[in-house]
Amino acid sequence: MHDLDWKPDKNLDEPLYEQIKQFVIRKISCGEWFLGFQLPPQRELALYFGVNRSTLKTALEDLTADGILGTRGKSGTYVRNNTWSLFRKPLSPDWLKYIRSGSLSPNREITRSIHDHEFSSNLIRLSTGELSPDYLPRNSTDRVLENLIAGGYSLGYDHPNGTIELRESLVQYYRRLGVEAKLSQILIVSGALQAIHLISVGLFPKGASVSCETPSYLYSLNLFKSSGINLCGVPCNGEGIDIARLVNIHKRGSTASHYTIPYFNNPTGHRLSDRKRIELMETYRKLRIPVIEDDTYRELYYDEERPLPLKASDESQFVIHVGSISKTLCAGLRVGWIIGQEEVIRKLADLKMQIDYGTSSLSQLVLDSLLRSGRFEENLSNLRQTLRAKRDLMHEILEGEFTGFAEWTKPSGGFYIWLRLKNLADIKSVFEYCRCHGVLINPGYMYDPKNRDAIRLSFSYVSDEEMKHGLSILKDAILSNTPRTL
Amino acid sequence: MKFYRSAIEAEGAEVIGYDRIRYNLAESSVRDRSLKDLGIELKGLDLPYAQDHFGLPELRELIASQSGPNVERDHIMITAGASAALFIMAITLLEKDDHVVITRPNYCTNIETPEAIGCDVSFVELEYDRRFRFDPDYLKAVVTPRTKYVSLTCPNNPDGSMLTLEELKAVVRITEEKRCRLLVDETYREMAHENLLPVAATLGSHVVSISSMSKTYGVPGIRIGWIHCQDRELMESFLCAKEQMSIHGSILDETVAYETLLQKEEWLAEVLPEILEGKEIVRKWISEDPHLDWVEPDGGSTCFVRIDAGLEIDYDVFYERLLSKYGTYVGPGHWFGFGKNYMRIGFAWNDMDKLRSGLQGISANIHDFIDR
Repeated sequence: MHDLDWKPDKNLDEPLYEQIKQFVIRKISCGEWFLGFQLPPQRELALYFGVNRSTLKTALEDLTADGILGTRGKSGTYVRNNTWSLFRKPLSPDWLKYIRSGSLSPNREITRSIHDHEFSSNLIRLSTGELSPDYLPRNSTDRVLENLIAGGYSLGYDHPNGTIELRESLVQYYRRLGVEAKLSQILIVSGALQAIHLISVGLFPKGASVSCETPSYLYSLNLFKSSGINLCGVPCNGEGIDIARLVNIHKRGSTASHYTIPYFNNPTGHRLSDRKRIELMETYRKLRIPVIEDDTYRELYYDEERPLPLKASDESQFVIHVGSISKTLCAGLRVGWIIGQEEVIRKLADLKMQIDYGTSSLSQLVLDSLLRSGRFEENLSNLRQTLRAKRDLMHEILEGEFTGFAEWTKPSGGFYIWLRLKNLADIKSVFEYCRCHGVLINPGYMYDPKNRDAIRLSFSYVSDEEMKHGLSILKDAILSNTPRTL
Repeated sequence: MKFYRSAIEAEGAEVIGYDRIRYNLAESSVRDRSLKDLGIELKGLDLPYAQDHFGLPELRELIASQSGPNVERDHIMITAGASAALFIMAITLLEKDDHVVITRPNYCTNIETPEAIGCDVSFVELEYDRRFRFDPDYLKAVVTPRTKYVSLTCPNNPDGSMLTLEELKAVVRITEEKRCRLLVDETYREMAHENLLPVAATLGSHVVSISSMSKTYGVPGIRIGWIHCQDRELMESFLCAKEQMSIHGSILDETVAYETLLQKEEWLAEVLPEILEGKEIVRKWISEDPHLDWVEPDGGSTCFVRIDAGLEIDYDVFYERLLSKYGTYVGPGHWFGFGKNYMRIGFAWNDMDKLRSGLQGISANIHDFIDR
């Protein structure tokens, strides 16, 4: 019944139990040993492998501790998890390389140039993926801080996973979204970027591939590229990611995970449709694709009911969910979180302790107070109204001024409009023209190295006047850099 | 390569359970303070993305002005505690197979990150019987042309030993001559009991000093530390690492740190006498218990105590009983790579009565074993 003609090789340096562990992981990752699969009894396995039982036991205990296998009383050992835990291998020696200044990617230059310019006060920032200071919750934080000061809150060290209070608040928040998470499944981090950083460093072996939509926010980061993790772009059509292409990439077997911003994507503003969502979740499940869900923008919906995160229909625990308040409340607190399987969270928490010994407990306390007092929701609801008006204005201006030489979809949430230009000669010249005239834009190639015809416009930061003026300069820039008369 | 959870984390107070601990002598900082204690107002904070990813300019300016003459704001980068600073230092400068020289015992990140990167690490072993001191000239023999940096902590953790000014200058000079960098973890520097040393980074552009708000200021819950270095190019590299890890730090924390450091003189005048009083209590306790000795610390808020190795004690039982019977929690020697008959005792976190009670618990526990 069990096809086990493999035996560990005693001549190798690698200990026998380690070889057995890898064998079991291979069996699981190729799908032969599926979720819930009952392993042969230990005595039988030891005989198959030609090892003594204590060696076998060490291997199985390690895998159980890693959450890959589980035990069910007398009935023995079964496959408990077939996605994230498989990556919990020893980290590769070069895992830190991604962060070195020496391995900066070509995009760095433009990112840096934009960053440098963003803080010149008189520039119009159609580029900026952040909230205008006018929308930041100054009064709410003032009141919260006043209470915290009066309450005599002590500034001591806190729990490595984050304060219990904030994690409790998040449990409540996610329950309303249909996500049941335990405290031990939540790790508080310093923003979503740190979440992506910890996941890429802590879970992926060197040389792994991660698939993502093209264009994708990930291309604007150095993090994956310079860590030796390959990004594998999957093209999108009007409805979102091309599922057939996604399936093909993952069937080849070398792709470790899929990264996605399902709702109000950065940079495209795209929202995953309900129909597509079901189809995608089914695909992830069938192919056992571990998914990183970047949920940063989901709360910023303007035209419909609140969308539910992918994590809400994730019974098999293949989604690692990343949340943040940087776009929905304020970025300066530097708070985000990861929700995932307990073993994975423990591993990431250990790594985080080594890196920075935990996220500011003061920042966490402020966020917790805002969540508990309802001010977070209140603020969000105001923010949605404000940003809906901003979105409408930008769409209206584009319709009036850009029709004919540009295309876009009106986004139903988020910060961005992805503007595609027809007949464009040189996007770099458009960028330069705008910059010389005091307007910053983000060229599409920041999010897709091959892209030559798109611009990410952000309506979250600029005032109405700035938006009007900025777009008129952009229009001039485009028309003066387009070869044919329109 | 693999990261292991260090014993100091795996057996930390959160894991043991705070409710079991009556006398927490494992803490290495001074007593925690609250926002109210700090007497600061926090109003009108916008909390957007930071403009300056090096850290709040006022805070960097203030730290620079408190670090010695001719220190510029651009020599300072704010990090999420000293741990992030140490991590950034290691990943920026080290690659697999690089050589690095580290004094031991030391704070775990100082040792574990270079090891995790796969560096060839030479340890300068600081020995109890040599009062944790080392001869700077010894570095001449260990540092090779491949050595990326020498790493030391001063005052040291867990023992509180300090270099003298002459020794520090010698270390600076030798590393400069050998063309390798010097990292000095100065987390406890301002808790020097007598002789405050200068910030090492002011003594040479090849020196990187790392410091933190966590230990001396009683505010570890705000994650604020900093890197101090005169080498602008290196600082740029540090910034790249910081930006890719978390863009920047909590602006709220940086604001609280700024307000806290504005009151630096007053706070030190208040807390340093407490540190010395705690140390005196430990000294008295050691002198009254014949089974104990210590290396008197020169700085910091912890000391390293040794129980007579001749005593027949099962130390696993000893520490469990110390906690269950006497409610006392200390940092056992194996956290620092020493035998379990050594322990780190923090003497500045508790009030003095609690400190006394905790120490008495240790003695009583020893006597329980002797009497049996």
